[in-house]
Amino acid sequence: MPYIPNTDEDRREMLAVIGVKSLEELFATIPDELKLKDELNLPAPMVESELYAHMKSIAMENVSFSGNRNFAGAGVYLHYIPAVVKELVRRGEFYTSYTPYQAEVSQGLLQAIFEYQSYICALTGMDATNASSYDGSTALVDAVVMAKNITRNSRIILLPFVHPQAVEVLQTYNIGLHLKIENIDADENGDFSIDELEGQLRGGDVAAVVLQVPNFMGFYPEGIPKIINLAHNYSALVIMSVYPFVLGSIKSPGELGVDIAVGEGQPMGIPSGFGGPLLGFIATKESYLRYLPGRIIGRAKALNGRVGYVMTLQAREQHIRREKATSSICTNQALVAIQCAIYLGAVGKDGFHKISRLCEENAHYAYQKLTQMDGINPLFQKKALFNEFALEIQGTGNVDAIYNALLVRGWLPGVKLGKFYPKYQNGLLLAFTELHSKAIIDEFCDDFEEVLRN
Amino acid sequence: MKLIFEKSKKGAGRLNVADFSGSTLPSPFVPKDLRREEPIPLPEVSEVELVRHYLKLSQENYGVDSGFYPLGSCTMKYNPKINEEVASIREFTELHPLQPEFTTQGALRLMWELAQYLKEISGMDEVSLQPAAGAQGELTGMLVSQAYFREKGEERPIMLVPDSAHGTNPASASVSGFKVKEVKSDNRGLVTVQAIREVVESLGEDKIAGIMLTNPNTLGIFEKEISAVSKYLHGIGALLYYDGANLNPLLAYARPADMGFDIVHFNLHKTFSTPHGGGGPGAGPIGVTKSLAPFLPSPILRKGENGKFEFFSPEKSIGRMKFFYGNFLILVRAYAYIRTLGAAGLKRVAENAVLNANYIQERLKEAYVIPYYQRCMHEFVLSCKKYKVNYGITARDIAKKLLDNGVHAPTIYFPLIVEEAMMIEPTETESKERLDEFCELMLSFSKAIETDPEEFRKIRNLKSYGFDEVDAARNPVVKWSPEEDN
Repeated sequence: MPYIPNTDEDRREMLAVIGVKSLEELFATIPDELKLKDELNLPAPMVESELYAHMKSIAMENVSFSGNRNFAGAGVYLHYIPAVVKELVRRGEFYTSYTPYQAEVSQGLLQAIFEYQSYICALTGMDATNASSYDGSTALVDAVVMAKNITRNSRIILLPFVHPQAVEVLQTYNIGLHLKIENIDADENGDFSIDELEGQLRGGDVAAVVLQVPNFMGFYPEGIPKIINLAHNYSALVIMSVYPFVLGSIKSPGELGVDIAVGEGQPMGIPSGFGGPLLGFIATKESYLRYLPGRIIGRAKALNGRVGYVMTLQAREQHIRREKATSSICTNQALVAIQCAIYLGAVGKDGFHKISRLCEENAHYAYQKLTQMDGINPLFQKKALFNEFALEIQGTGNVDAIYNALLVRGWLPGVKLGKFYPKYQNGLLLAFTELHSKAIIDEFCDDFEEVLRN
Repeated sequence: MKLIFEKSKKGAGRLNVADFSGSTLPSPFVPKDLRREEPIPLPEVSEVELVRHYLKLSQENYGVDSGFYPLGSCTMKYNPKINEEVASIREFTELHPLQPEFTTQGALRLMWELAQYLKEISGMDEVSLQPAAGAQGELTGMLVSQAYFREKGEERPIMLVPDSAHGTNPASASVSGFKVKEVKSDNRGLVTVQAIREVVESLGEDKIAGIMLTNPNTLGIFEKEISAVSKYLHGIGALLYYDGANLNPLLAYARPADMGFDIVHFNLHKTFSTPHGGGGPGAGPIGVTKSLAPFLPSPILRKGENGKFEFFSPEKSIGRMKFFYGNFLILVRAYAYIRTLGAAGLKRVAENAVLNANYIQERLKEAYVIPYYQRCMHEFVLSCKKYKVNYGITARDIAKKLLDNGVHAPTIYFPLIVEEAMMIEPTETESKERLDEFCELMLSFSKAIETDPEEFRKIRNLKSYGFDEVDAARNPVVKWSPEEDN
């Protein structure tokens, strides 16, 4: 029997020690009327070679686009994952271990996560972070809950174009949180009025102002330092959701005065994997350390004087505080966090900044070429971009025709915005990374132009 | 061991990424008021040093691949390698979640089929694969309950949780807006209708939203009265939530739906062998009965008339619990596991998990006290209290001694209703030889403690032990700082 090492002989001996005659007898504590009478209706078992063939055939029912022919972003981005990352993350000692309750035999994992925390703090310019949240959307919820607990206020103000799925997740969690979630709307060109924000803040009771950088449409909201000041003037916290590689080009959230930085860590060495597992990161200032949810790894001294690492500040967590805990998170994304750390070690300081700049340069090059074509406009004019932008494909229904024609040519030409915002039915969101070289972009743009003409 | 940051050497890290224009910071594309001037202080290490660093770290870690891991409640079974292999097939790993559905039919088929299997295994009517972990599954189930009662126009603010429950249960109930009330276990460690009725009657029948139970409970004992409990609670209009952490011993033997549960979560990283990953990622799908299905998170899958799979949003959905559709690559592993074992294999899993636990329990029951001794399911809880009282040796001391002897310790100090608790779950993937080694060790400890407790306390093999957790929490250092290098 697969994965069960005991033999019939072993089982006989063990049953004798227990003092029962059969395996069924071991289940005598289950009342008869609750015992299943029939065998479960599941497909017949497969041997390993059959299973592999079966899995491969299911996989081949998908159409996968290699990273450089894929311009979809909107939360999950295609970056190159160095071979060394994939190799190291498959060490059995890491991935077959549990949450490191027993520090003495978990120093490897604990140190790896301590290093992950150090990386996240370095990137965000913050003092403290946790060992991971489920993904970027739940990290945002975690931040909102922190802001609620820190300020004891109950209003949350969302600036335009925070990831719409993250907003949905926040609304779902809000069934239990009872916060007032308010939106500031964008005008025609994607901008919002800072006076309107101030007006809302003046109402008081605001726990946090939430913004995303770059926002879902790929551009920098205008006047970020001003927004942060304004929020602080009214004693609200600022939560900033960031795309990790933008941090190679902008001042860190810490330096900007942000209170809580969150984001989706997937771009840092994690495959897109049909959207999971992902990696939520959340980082904050030292003074808010004890408001963070989930596992936190800290340095500790052993009896023999050695320096090591333990799960620390556990008094915040569900297994100690039960119903008084501020989050129920237990299992997190530890292995994904380690994968991210290995990735950051692999690309290093130099590589990280190169990738950041390549994202910018490739996106700007593509933007120039695409927006010059007849039939395409930027959805929003004159925006400062990082690696993603929104286009408007003129003519009703044209976006679908063009999208499909490019699919046929083997491109995944971004993400259609109508899926997220009914008012942007003709919108297309395209993302660029270091994988999209000039040659590839030229080829893509040639195809795009041809498709537009037909 | 030195941190990766302390191994950094200027110019050592040279990743081969395509070259760019060569310009350095600040970036010309960034608005002036945001421009970064200085690079981020990331380390620079060569590839070979990176490999050695993580190899060394992995060697300082203990997983199921290293040895016996009887951590109760966590189901640390072997993680089959073929599952890792199939989860790394490129046509799975490289899928973008926002590709058009006709290009992801394989992924959707896999998820849809997995949902069918989980329905069959639990007896539930509909399944959502979205939750990322058990606790998020619990939270999802609680929010579904909130939405269900809101729809019915009933205000039921209270969720019942037994005193033996996992900590996530009260936390999830509370985060989702319920008030938590505890129900006491009886002297057999069981939840009874009588105990529930007492709590219910003191609070008001119409105030009770439901109860969260795991069955077998955290003592590893099957809740015999479960049918009567569900009949009573359904009678007052409340719901029953099944915490799936302990599903392993029931596979193909009994189903939560038949016991009267309305909502169940599965821990794919326990029952269905996907790796724990040092704390995650897991997957915590939930199953519900027909009346709760309209409230499941969005989106879920259906098979269209044309045989194509498609996502849709349930009619009265609570909304989304996370980005996209769930921890897909974990779902792939669980799917592969179920397809490998089939119905008969899953039944063998349950039988051998229960056999292994009872075997250890029988061998240790004289030397250690088992406060709720009876036929257990997949795990049992012993107490080290007599060693504490007579010799000053605690469950923690015994746990550390196990670590010192190369075995992972069981869960200690849980459930809270057993003093000096040690919760042992061997799982079905361990052989009799491993179980015997463990039993011999535990029995030798009992003798050693009685002979010379001071000698017993001595740690001989662990590199470091006895971390000062109080100081770590009082003066937290949670990241490396550049100043440390000077």
